[in-house]
Amino acid sequence: MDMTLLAASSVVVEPKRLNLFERYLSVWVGLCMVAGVALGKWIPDIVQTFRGLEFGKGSHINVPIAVLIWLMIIPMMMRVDFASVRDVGRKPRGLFVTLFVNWIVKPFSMAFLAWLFFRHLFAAWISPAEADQYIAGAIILAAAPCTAMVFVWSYLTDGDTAYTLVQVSVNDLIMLVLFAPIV
Amino acid sequence: MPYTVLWYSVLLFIVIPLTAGALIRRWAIHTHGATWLNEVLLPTLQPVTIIALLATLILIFAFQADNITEKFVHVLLIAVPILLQVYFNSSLAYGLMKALRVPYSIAAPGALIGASNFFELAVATAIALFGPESGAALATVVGVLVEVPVMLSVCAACNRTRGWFQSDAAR
Repeated sequence: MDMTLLAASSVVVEPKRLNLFERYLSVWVGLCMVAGVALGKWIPDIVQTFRGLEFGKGSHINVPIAVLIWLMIIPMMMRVDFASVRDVGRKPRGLFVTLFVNWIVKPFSMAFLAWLFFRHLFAAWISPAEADQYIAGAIILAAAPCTAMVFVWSYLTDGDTAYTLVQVSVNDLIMLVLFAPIV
Repeated sequence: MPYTVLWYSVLLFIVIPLTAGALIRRWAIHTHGATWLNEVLLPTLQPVTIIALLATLILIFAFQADNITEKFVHVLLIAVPILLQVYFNSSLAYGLMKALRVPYSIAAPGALIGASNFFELAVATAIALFGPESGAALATVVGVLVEVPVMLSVCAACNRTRGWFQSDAAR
């Protein structure tokens, strides 16, 4: 079993030419963060116009970012060999770990860390009312595992695309059930 | 409202790209063969992924420029437990994967899924429950800001520790 999955993934994964990118990664990331803030300050009108482009009203899904995410993940989806998706069901251990961390550990570890920092360690700078807001926001964040970007992260680490797809899909199905009561 | 975001996201970020990717894959294999797909087309598209990633980062920071400059100290303070959370959860998932002898190609994305956050949904939920100017919304925005840089560092850590899983691959 190990061998079939590994063989399937090694066929589609080729060595990456990311050396220049990887070596100076923190530099590029830092420059992009600074460039972003600078653009937002210098040409706020244009930036706000871009920001206002959403799929449907109040969907919070920004069109320019969605298009960039497509550019990132469509090539990844082109690597999915549907024959290997079926193998995932026979190797569920990885999936159990992700589900355990995402839904049993993550919301509670975030609640604890947020409470510890916002209510206690940072109490000198954050008022208790603000702290409660920040704690709530942090917990909401932790209760929402990622969809699209995970494909990019998986790609950058030579992850098994088919397995990542199944993991993301299962987590999203759980989210659809769990978020229903909030509405 | 958050539920709409969730449905939209599943459609936009899974169903559409998966369909598009599967169709392009079929077309490429039919017309040029699997070798061309894996050795020519996919490597050609590689820089696109990286450029799109950096462009996403620029947009995210441009959209939040006002929050970053006006609430700079609070943004930094909020980032601290969120960063710790990301590193704690990815290490936990990665360690469990290693203990269970899961191969690297599954362990790495597993660690990344355990750490990564679905920021569109989080921001929408916080705004729906507490309003756009609320502290809760600001905290989720910080989650958006840290996502790309912090996840890239987790990717780098996974790539560097690939050797831990080699004994499993040999079996």
